[in-house]
Amino acid sequence: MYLFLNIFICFSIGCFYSFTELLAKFKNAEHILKINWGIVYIIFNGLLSVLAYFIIKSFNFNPTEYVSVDGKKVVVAGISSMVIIRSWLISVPVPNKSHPGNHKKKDTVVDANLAPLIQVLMSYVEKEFDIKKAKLDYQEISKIMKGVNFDKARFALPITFSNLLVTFTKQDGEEIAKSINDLAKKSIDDESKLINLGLILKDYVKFDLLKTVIEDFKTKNESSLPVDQLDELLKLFETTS
Amino acid sequence: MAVSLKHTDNHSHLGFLDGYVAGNISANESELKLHTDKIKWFLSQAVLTFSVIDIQDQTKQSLKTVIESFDSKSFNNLLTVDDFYSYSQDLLEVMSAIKNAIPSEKLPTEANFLIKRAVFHCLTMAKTLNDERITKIAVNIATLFK
Repeated sequence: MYLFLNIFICFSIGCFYSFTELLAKFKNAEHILKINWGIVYIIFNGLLSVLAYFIIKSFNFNPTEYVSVDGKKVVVAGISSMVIIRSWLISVPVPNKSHPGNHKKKDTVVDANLAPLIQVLMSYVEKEFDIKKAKLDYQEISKIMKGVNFDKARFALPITFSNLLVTFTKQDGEEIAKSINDLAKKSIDDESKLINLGLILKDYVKFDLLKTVIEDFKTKNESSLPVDQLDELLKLFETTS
Repeated sequence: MAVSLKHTDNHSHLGFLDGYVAGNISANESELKLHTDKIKWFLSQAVLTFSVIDIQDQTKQSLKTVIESFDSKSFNNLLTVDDFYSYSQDLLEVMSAIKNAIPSEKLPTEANFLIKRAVFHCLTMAKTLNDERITKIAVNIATLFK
Protein backbone atom coordinates (compact mmCIF):
# COMPACT_ATOMS: atom_id res chain seq x y z
CA MET A 1 0.00 0.00 0.00
CA TYR A 2 2.80 2.36 0.90
CA LEU A 3 4.46 1.58 -2.40
CA PHE A 4 1.43 2.84 -4.29
CA LEU A 5 1.26 5.86 -2.02
CA ASN A 6 4.91 6.65 -2.77
CA ILE A 7 4.30 6.28 -6.47
CA PHE A 8 1.26 8.51 -6.29
CA ILE A 9 3.12 11.23 -4.39
CA CYS A 10 6.06 11.07 -6.84
CA PHE A 11 3.72 11.26 -9.79
CA SER A 12 1.86 14.22 -8.26
CA ILE A 13 5.02 16.14 -7.51
CA GLY A 14 6.30 15.58 -11.05
CA CYS A 15 2.99 16.71 -12.51
CA PHE A 16 2.82 19.75 -10.27
CA TYR A 17 6.40 20.72 -11.13
CA SER A 18 5.77 20.55 -14.86
CA PHE A 19 2.44 22.35 -14.49
CA THR A 20 4.18 25.28 -12.79
CA GLU A 21 6.76 25.23 -15.56
CA LEU A 22 4.02 25.61 -18.16
CA LEU A 23 2.32 28.23 -16.03
CA ALA A 24 5.53 30.28 -15.86
CA LYS A 25 5.88 29.99 -19.61
CA PHE A 26 2.31 30.66 -20.73
CA LYS A 27 0.90 32.51 -17.67
CA ASN A 28 -2.60 31.12 -18.13
CA ALA A 29 -3.69 28.12 -16.00
CA GLU A 30 -7.10 27.79 -17.64
CA HIS A 31 -5.69 27.51 -21.13
CA ILE A 32 -2.93 25.08 -20.18
CA LEU A 33 -5.40 22.50 -18.90
CA LYS A 34 -7.42 22.75 -22.11
CA ILE A 35 -4.48 21.79 -24.30
CA ASN A 36 -4.09 18.10 -25.02
CA TRP A 37 -0.33 18.31 -25.44
CA GLY A 38 -0.15 20.24 -22.18
CA ILE A 39 -1.81 17.33 -20.38
CA VAL A 40 0.58 14.93 -22.14
CA TYR A 41 3.55 17.01 -21.00
CA ILE A 42 2.35 17.05 -17.41
CA ILE A 43 1.65 13.31 -17.30
CA PHE A 44 4.96 12.53 -19.02
CA ASN A 45 6.84 14.43 -16.32
CA GLY A 46 4.78 12.66 -13.65
CA LEU A 47 5.77 9.29 -15.08
CA LEU A 48 9.41 10.33 -15.26
CA SER A 49 9.23 11.18 -11.58
CA VAL A 50 7.98 7.69 -10.83
CA LEU A 51 10.83 6.29 -12.94
CA ALA A 52 13.26 8.45 -10.99
CA TYR A 53 11.88 7.05 -7.76
CA PHE A 54 12.61 3.51 -8.82
CA ILE A 55 16.08 4.48 -10.07
CA ILE A 56 16.84 6.03 -6.69
CA LYS A 57 15.51 2.94 -5.05
CA SER A 58 17.65 0.63 -7.17
CA PHE A 59 20.84 2.27 -5.96
CA ASN A 60 19.84 1.84 -2.37
CA PHE A 61 17.61 -1.13 -2.44
CA ASN A 62 16.13 -2.18 0.88
CA PRO A 63 12.90 -4.17 0.86
CA THR A 64 11.89 -2.86 4.24
CA GLU A 65 11.82 0.67 2.91
CA TYR A 66 8.78 -0.20 0.82
CA VAL A 67 6.92 -0.66 4.03
CA SER A 68 6.65 3.02 4.74
CA VAL A 69 6.40 6.36 2.98
CA ASP A 70 9.99 7.47 2.44
CA GLY A 71 9.42 11.18 2.36
CA LYS A 72 12.77 12.52 1.22
CA LYS A 73 13.25 10.02 -1.57
CA VAL A 74 9.74 10.61 -2.83
CA VAL A 75 10.25 14.38 -2.94
CA VAL A 76 13.66 14.04 -4.61
CA ALA A 77 12.22 11.60 -7.11
CA GLY A 78 9.33 13.91 -7.77
CA ILE A 79 11.49 16.78 -8.83
CA SER A 80 14.30 14.71 -10.27
CA SER A 81 12.34 14.17 -13.46
CA MET A 82 13.53 17.65 -14.38
CA VAL A 83 17.11 16.63 -13.72
CA ILE A 84 16.82 13.39 -15.66
CA ILE A 85 15.36 14.89 -18.81
CA ARG A 86 17.54 17.94 -18.92
CA SER A 87 20.90 16.57 -17.80
CA TRP A 88 23.24 14.33 -19.64
CA LEU A 89 22.88 10.63 -18.93
CA ILE A 90 25.92 9.32 -20.70
CA SER A 91 28.74 10.75 -22.77
CA VAL A 92 29.39 8.99 -26.05
CA PRO A 93 32.76 9.52 -27.70
CA VAL A 94 32.51 9.67 -31.49
CA PRO A 95 35.81 8.62 -33.13
CA ASN A 96 37.53 11.13 -35.36
CA LYS A 97 37.39 9.14 -38.63
CA SER A 98 38.75 11.87 -40.88
CA HIS A 99 42.13 11.82 -39.19
CA PRO A 100 42.67 8.39 -37.70
CA GLY A 101 45.65 8.21 -35.52
CA ASN A 102 45.94 11.97 -35.42
CA HIS A 103 46.44 12.55 -31.79
CA LYS A 104 45.97 16.29 -32.12
CA LYS A 105 42.38 15.92 -33.36
CA LYS A 106 40.41 14.55 -30.41
CA ASP A 107 37.29 12.46 -30.70
CA THR A 108 34.00 14.37 -30.46
CA VAL A 109 32.03 13.72 -27.27
CA VAL A 110 28.25 13.69 -27.52
CA ASP A 111 26.13 13.99 -24.38
CA ALA A 112 23.09 11.77 -24.64
CA ASN A 113 20.00 12.89 -22.73
CA LEU A 114 16.27 13.23 -22.97
CA ALA A 115 16.29 17.03 -23.53
CA PRO A 116 15.51 16.76 -27.30
CA LEU A 117 12.47 14.66 -26.42
CA ILE A 118 11.16 17.25 -24.00
CA GLN A 119 11.86 20.01 -26.53
CA VAL A 120 9.74 18.23 -29.12
CA LEU A 121 6.94 17.80 -26.60
CA MET A 122 7.18 21.43 -25.56
CA SER A 123 7.03 22.64 -29.17
CA TYR A 124 3.75 20.76 -29.64
CA VAL A 125 2.42 22.27 -26.43
CA GLU A 126 3.45 25.77 -27.53
CA LYS A 127 1.85 25.47 -30.93
CA GLU A 128 -1.42 24.12 -29.62
CA PHE A 129 -1.51 26.68 -26.83
CA ASP A 130 -0.91 29.49 -29.29
CA ILE A 131 -3.74 28.44 -31.58
CA LYS A 132 -6.21 27.79 -28.79
CA LYS A 133 -5.38 31.02 -27.01
CA ALA A 134 -5.69 33.01 -30.25
CA LYS A 135 -9.13 31.56 -30.91
CA LEU A 136 -10.38 32.27 -27.39
CA ASP A 137 -8.83 35.75 -27.38
CA TYR A 138 -10.45 36.64 -30.70
CA GLN A 139 -13.88 35.48 -29.58
CA GLU A 140 -13.66 37.37 -26.30
CA ILE A 141 -12.30 40.58 -27.79
CA SER A 142 -14.91 40.64 -30.58
CA LYS A 143 -17.67 40.48 -27.99
CA ILE A 144 -16.11 43.06 -25.71
CA MET A 145 -15.26 45.67 -28.35
CA LYS A 146 -18.50 45.51 -30.31
CA GLY A 147 -20.17 48.91 -30.61
CA VAL A 148 -17.20 50.93 -29.36
CA ASN A 149 -16.19 54.13 -31.12
CA PHE A 150 -12.59 53.58 -32.20
CA ASP A 151 -11.62 57.26 -32.44
CA LYS A 152 -12.73 57.96 -28.88
CA ALA A 153 -11.60 54.65 -27.42
CA ARG A 154 -8.04 54.88 -28.78
CA PHE A 155 -7.36 57.89 -26.57
CA ALA A 156 -9.68 57.33 -23.63
CA LEU A 157 -8.93 53.70 -22.82
CA PRO A 158 -5.14 53.78 -22.35
CA ILE A 159 -5.46 56.82 -20.10
CA THR A 160 -8.24 55.19 -18.09
CA PHE A 161 -6.10 52.10 -17.56
CA SER A 162 -3.13 54.20 -16.51
CA ASN A 163 -5.34 55.80 -13.86
CA LEU A 164 -6.38 52.36 -12.61
CA LEU A 165 -3.08 50.48 -12.70
CA VAL A 166 0.02 51.59 -10.84
CA THR A 167 2.26 49.24 -12.80
CA PHE A 168 2.03 51.16 -16.06
CA THR A 169 5.40 52.68 -16.88
CA LYS A 170 6.53 55.45 -19.19
CA GLN A 171 7.80 52.85 -21.60
CA ASP A 172 4.38 51.18 -21.62
CA GLY A 173 2.84 54.53 -22.52
CA GLU A 174 5.20 55.05 -25.44
CA GLU A 175 4.70 51.50 -26.69
CA ILE A 176 0.92 51.68 -26.49
CA ALA A 177 0.85 55.07 -28.21
CA LYS A 178 3.02 53.77 -31.03
CA SER A 179 0.99 50.57 -31.49
CA ILE A 180 -2.33 52.41 -31.51
CA ASN A 181 -1.08 55.11 -33.87
CA ASP A 182 0.24 52.48 -36.28
CA LEU A 183 -3.13 50.73 -36.10
CA ALA A 184 -5.08 53.94 -36.72
CA LYS A 185 -3.12 54.54 -39.91
CA LYS A 186 -3.84 51.09 -41.35
CA SER A 187 -6.30 50.86 -44.24
CA ILE A 188 -8.66 48.41 -42.56
CA ASP A 189 -12.29 48.71 -41.52
CA ASP A 190 -13.27 50.12 -38.12
CA GLU A 191 -14.38 46.77 -36.78
CA SER A 192 -10.96 45.23 -37.45
CA LYS A 193 -9.31 48.26 -35.88
CA LEU A 194 -11.45 47.82 -32.78
CA ILE A 195 -10.53 44.15 -32.44
CA ASN A 196 -6.86 44.96 -32.85
CA LEU A 197 -7.16 47.79 -30.31
CA GLY A 198 -8.62 45.30 -27.86
CA LEU A 199 -5.79 42.85 -28.55
CA ILE A 200 -3.19 45.57 -27.96
CA LEU A 201 -4.74 46.60 -24.64
CA LYS A 202 -5.28 42.99 -23.55
CA ASP A 203 -1.49 42.50 -23.49
CA TYR A 204 -1.30 45.12 -20.73
CA VAL A 205 -4.50 44.41 -18.78
CA LYS A 206 -6.48 41.22 -18.17
CA PHE A 207 -9.74 40.43 -19.92
CA ASP A 208 -11.78 41.12 -16.80
CA LEU A 209 -10.57 44.70 -16.42
CA LEU A 210 -10.78 45.33 -20.16
CA LYS A 211 -14.37 44.10 -20.23
CA THR A 212 -15.39 46.17 -17.18
CA VAL A 213 -13.88 49.38 -18.50
CA ILE A 214 -15.21 48.91 -22.04
CA GLU A 215 -18.75 48.20 -20.83
CA ASP A 216 -18.67 51.33 -18.74
CA PHE A 217 -17.19 53.27 -21.65
CA LYS A 218 -20.00 52.14 -23.94
CA THR A 219 -22.85 52.99 -21.58
CA LYS A 220 -21.58 56.46 -20.74
CA ASN A 221 -23.38 59.16 -22.69
CA GLU A 222 -21.04 61.80 -21.54
CA SER A 223 -20.08 63.75 -24.60
CA SER A 224 -16.77 65.46 -24.38
CA LEU A 225 -18.21 68.61 -25.82
CA PRO A 226 -15.10 70.14 -27.35
CA VAL A 227 -14.25 66.85 -29.06
CA ASP A 228 -17.72 66.43 -30.54
CA GLN A 229 -17.67 70.01 -31.69
CA LEU A 230 -14.23 69.36 -33.16
CA ASP A 231 -15.53 66.54 -35.36
CA GLU A 232 -18.44 68.64 -36.59
CA LEU A 233 -16.20 71.59 -37.33
CA LEU A 234 -13.71 69.37 -39.15
CA LYS A 235 -16.46 68.20 -41.48
CA LEU A 236 -17.57 71.78 -42.02
CA PHE A 237 -14.13 73.16 -42.79
CA GLU A 238 -13.04 70.16 -44.84
CA THR A 239 -15.68 70.89 -47.43
CA THR A 240 -15.25 74.64 -47.35
CA SER A 241 -14.14 76.08 -50.64
CA MET B 1 -9.79 63.28 -23.55
CA ALA B 2 -7.57 65.55 -21.57
CA VAL B 3 -4.14 64.42 -20.60
CA SER B 4 -4.33 65.56 -17.05
CA LEU B 5 -1.17 65.28 -15.07
CA LYS B 6 -2.64 64.67 -11.65
CA HIS B 7 -0.75 65.69 -8.60
CA THR B 8 -0.21 62.24 -7.24
CA ASP B 9 2.56 60.32 -5.63
CA ASN B 10 2.10 57.69 -8.27
CA HIS B 11 5.17 58.40 -10.36
CA SER B 12 4.46 55.40 -12.53
CA HIS B 13 1.07 56.88 -13.49
CA LEU B 14 2.66 60.21 -14.45
CA GLY B 15 5.40 58.36 -16.30
CA PHE B 16 2.85 56.42 -18.33
CA LEU B 17 0.98 59.59 -19.33
CA ASP B 18 4.22 61.34 -20.26
CA GLY B 19 5.26 58.34 -22.30
CA TYR B 20 1.84 58.01 -23.90
CA VAL B 21 1.65 61.66 -24.91
CA ALA B 22 5.24 61.70 -26.11
CA GLY B 23 4.65 58.49 -28.04
CA ASN B 24 1.58 59.98 -29.65
CA ILE B 25 3.46 63.10 -30.75
CA SER B 26 6.42 61.05 -31.94
CA ALA B 27 4.23 58.73 -33.98
CA ASN B 28 2.50 61.67 -35.67
CA GLU B 29 5.50 63.93 -36.04
CA SER B 30 5.43 64.16 -39.84
CA GLU B 31 1.68 64.76 -39.88
CA LEU B 32 1.93 67.50 -37.24
CA LYS B 33 4.75 69.15 -39.15
CA LEU B 34 2.62 69.09 -42.30
CA HIS B 35 -0.24 70.83 -40.50
CA THR B 36 1.94 73.53 -38.99
CA ASP B 37 3.61 74.11 -42.38
CA LYS B 38 0.22 74.37 -44.06
CA ILE B 39 -1.06 76.80 -41.45
CA LYS B 40 2.01 78.93 -41.97
CA TRP B 41 1.67 78.86 -45.76
CA PHE B 42 -2.05 79.62 -45.90
CA LEU B 43 -1.70 82.52 -43.48
CA SER B 44 1.22 83.99 -45.41
CA GLN B 45 -0.80 83.76 -48.64
CA ALA B 46 -3.79 85.35 -46.91
CA VAL B 47 -1.62 88.29 -45.85
CA LEU B 48 -0.83 88.97 -49.52
CA THR B 49 -4.52 89.54 -50.22
CA PHE B 50 -4.89 92.09 -47.40
CA SER B 51 -3.39 94.84 -49.55
CA VAL B 52 -6.64 95.19 -51.50
CA ILE B 53 -8.83 95.34 -48.42
CA ASP B 54 -10.40 98.68 -47.59
CA ILE B 55 -9.02 99.15 -44.09
CA GLN B 56 -6.52 101.53 -42.55
CA ASP B 57 -2.89 101.02 -43.52
CA GLN B 58 -1.92 100.96 -39.90
CA THR B 59 -4.27 98.05 -39.29
CA LYS B 60 -2.85 96.22 -42.29
CA GLN B 61 0.68 96.79 -41.02
CA SER B 62 -0.03 95.55 -37.51
CA LEU B 63 -1.79 92.49 -38.92
CA LYS B 64 1.22 91.79 -41.09
CA THR B 65 3.54 92.14 -38.08
CA VAL B 66 1.46 89.76 -35.99
CA ILE B 67 1.39 87.13 -38.71
CA GLU B 68 5.09 87.47 -39.49
CA SER B 69 5.88 87.08 -35.82
CA PHE B 70 3.80 83.91 -35.78
CA ASP B 71 5.50 82.68 -38.98
CA SER B 72 8.89 83.00 -37.40
CA LYS B 73 8.10 80.23 -34.93
CA SER B 74 9.82 77.08 -36.00
CA PHE B 75 8.33 73.62 -35.93
CA ASN B 76 11.58 72.35 -34.45
CA ASN B 77 10.58 73.95 -31.16
CA LEU B 78 7.34 71.99 -30.99
CA LEU B 79 8.40 68.89 -29.10
CA THR B 80 5.88 68.46 -26.29
CA VAL B 81 2.16 68.92 -25.91
CA ASP B 82 2.83 72.09 -23.94
CA ASP B 83 4.77 73.48 -26.92
CA PHE B 84 1.78 72.80 -29.15
CA TYR B 85 -0.49 74.42 -26.59
CA SER B 86 1.61 77.60 -26.69
CA TYR B 87 1.60 77.42 -30.47
CA SER B 88 -2.18 77.12 -30.48
CA GLN B 89 -2.53 80.11 -28.18
CA ASP B 90 -0.33 82.18 -30.52
CA LEU B 91 -2.43 81.05 -33.46
CA LEU B 92 -5.61 82.08 -31.64
CA GLU B 93 -4.10 85.52 -31.12
CA VAL B 94 -3.38 85.82 -34.84
CA MET B 95 -6.83 84.67 -35.87
CA SER B 96 -8.50 86.95 -33.35
CA ALA B 97 -6.43 89.87 -34.65
CA ILE B 98 -7.56 89.13 -38.22
CA LYS B 99 -11.18 88.80 -37.18
CA ASN B 100 -11.10 92.04 -35.21
CA ALA B 101 -9.24 93.99 -37.87
CA ILE B 102 -11.23 92.90 -40.91
CA PRO B 103 -15.02 92.73 -40.88
CA SER B 104 -16.46 89.62 -42.54
CA GLU B 105 -18.04 91.59 -45.36
CA LYS B 106 -14.71 93.17 -46.28
CA LEU B 107 -12.72 89.90 -46.26
CA PRO B 108 -11.94 88.90 -49.88
CA THR B 109 -13.18 85.51 -51.01
CA GLU B 110 -9.66 84.29 -51.59
CA ALA B 111 -8.51 85.39 -48.12
CA ASN B 112 -11.58 83.78 -46.62
CA PHE B 113 -10.74 80.49 -48.34
CA LEU B 114 -7.08 80.59 -47.29
CA ILE B 115 -7.95 81.34 -43.67
CA LYS B 116 -10.48 78.52 -43.58
CA ARG B 117 -7.89 76.09 -44.93
CA ALA B 118 -5.54 77.20 -42.14
CA VAL B 119 -8.35 76.62 -39.64
CA PHE B 120 -8.95 73.14 -41.06
CA HIS B 121 -5.32 72.20 -40.49
CA CYS B 122 -5.48 73.64 -36.99
CA LEU B 123 -8.52 71.46 -36.23
CA THR B 124 -6.83 68.36 -37.65
CA MET B 125 -3.72 69.07 -35.60
CA ALA B 126 -5.86 69.38 -32.46
CA LYS B 127 -7.60 66.08 -33.21
CA THR B 128 -4.24 64.34 -33.65
CA LEU B 129 -2.87 65.72 -30.39
CA ASN B 130 -6.03 64.91 -28.46
CA ASP B 131 -5.39 67.44 -25.74
CA GLU B 132 -8.48 69.11 -24.31
CA ARG B 133 -6.80 72.51 -23.95
CA ILE B 134 -5.63 72.51 -27.55
CA THR B 135 -9.01 71.20 -28.74
CA LYS B 136 -10.82 74.07 -27.02
CA ILE B 137 -8.52 76.62 -28.64
CA ALA B 138 -9.01 75.00 -32.06
CA VAL B 139 -12.78 75.08 -31.59
CA ASN B 140 -12.59 78.76 -30.59
CA ILE B 141 -10.55 79.57 -33.68
CA ALA B 142 -12.95 77.68 -35.92
CA THR B 143 -15.94 79.42 -34.35
CA LEU B 144 -14.46 82.81 -35.31
CA PHE B 145 -14.59 81.91 -39.00
CA LYS B 146 -17.51 79.48 -39.09
